[in-house]
Amino acid sequence: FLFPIKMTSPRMIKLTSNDDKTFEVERDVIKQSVTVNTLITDLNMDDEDVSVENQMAIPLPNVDAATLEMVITWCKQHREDPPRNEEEEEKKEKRTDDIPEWDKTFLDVEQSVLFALILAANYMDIKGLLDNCCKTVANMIKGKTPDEIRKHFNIKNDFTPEEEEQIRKENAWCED
Amino acid sequence: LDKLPFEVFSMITSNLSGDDLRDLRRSCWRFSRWVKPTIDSFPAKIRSKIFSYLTIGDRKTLRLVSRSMEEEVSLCDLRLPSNMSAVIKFGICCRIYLKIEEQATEKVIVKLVEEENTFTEAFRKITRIFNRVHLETLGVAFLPILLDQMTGSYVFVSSPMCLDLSDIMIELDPTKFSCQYTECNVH
Repeated sequence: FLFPIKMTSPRMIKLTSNDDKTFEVERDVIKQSVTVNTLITDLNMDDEDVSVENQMAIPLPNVDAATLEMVITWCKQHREDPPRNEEEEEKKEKRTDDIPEWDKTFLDVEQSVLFALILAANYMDIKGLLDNCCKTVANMIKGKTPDEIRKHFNIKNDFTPEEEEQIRKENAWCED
Repeated sequence: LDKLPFEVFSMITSNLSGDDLRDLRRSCWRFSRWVKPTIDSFPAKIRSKIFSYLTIGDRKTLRLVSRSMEEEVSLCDLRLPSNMSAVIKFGICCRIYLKIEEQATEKVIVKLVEEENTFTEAFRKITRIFNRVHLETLGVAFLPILLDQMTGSYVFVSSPMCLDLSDIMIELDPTKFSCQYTECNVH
């Protein structure tokens, strides 16, 4: 006997960027965004039996298309990651040498792109992505002199020499 | 301003501070695309997350970069239990202040809002004023309040303060103390 097998395609969710580009993404992939996940749940979108064509798109007014595309790529790559236990994460030692290789390559982008990604990860509440982006920025700061940091991040030195000396004195109490 | 060509707009905005740029980016869609995010225009929550990954040495360096960095980067991280109310945090700061400077003539402005790094900020301001905190006094000031607040909470320390606080914490409940100071040789 041959039993007909019902093929269920994965549930898709539509997201719209602030420059009006719409992306279709698997429900299972975008669940990593707490913001989107909460919206889907609150709007009962999981219960609706509507095709993706007729589905309402979730607007993301703080994220542009290029950044949203990157966010979706990251979420696809990390879809199998075990759920994070934030309490455990908080207790962990603060390290920056544990960024996965794939993420290191993925985040090796122009500074403005990385910063846009940080803001998007923060807005969409994707903790894993935000953590790895912040670690990447921390690695950019580590080991540099004040002047190198200014150059790297395009920050103006607005201290007078006297003020700078004062800060050095104040810093001295905390031993390395 | 939004009718100007991008080049002119960039010339005007090149002298704005990080905070101004952040406000500008939020003010309208066009500006959100024109004004690229910079490290000093990130929301405070993100900046403090980035800084939390830095060692004391790197934080010292960062404080020398600019005024906004000096204001923002604290040398000590002491994450008090998140369920601790702002009133209690304020109490801790006042106690430290009074213990350090008994005459209490200096005005310490401690702005407290319900944020994780509130205490760190208050502590930083206090350390700036007094240059060096007497940690043994600090421990004494902490004790009664920590005893009240310890139920089900952890105290994380990622600075040399771990050496002084650990004695008190371990006496109370060793499982509630977590040293995250990367350069610590003891814990």
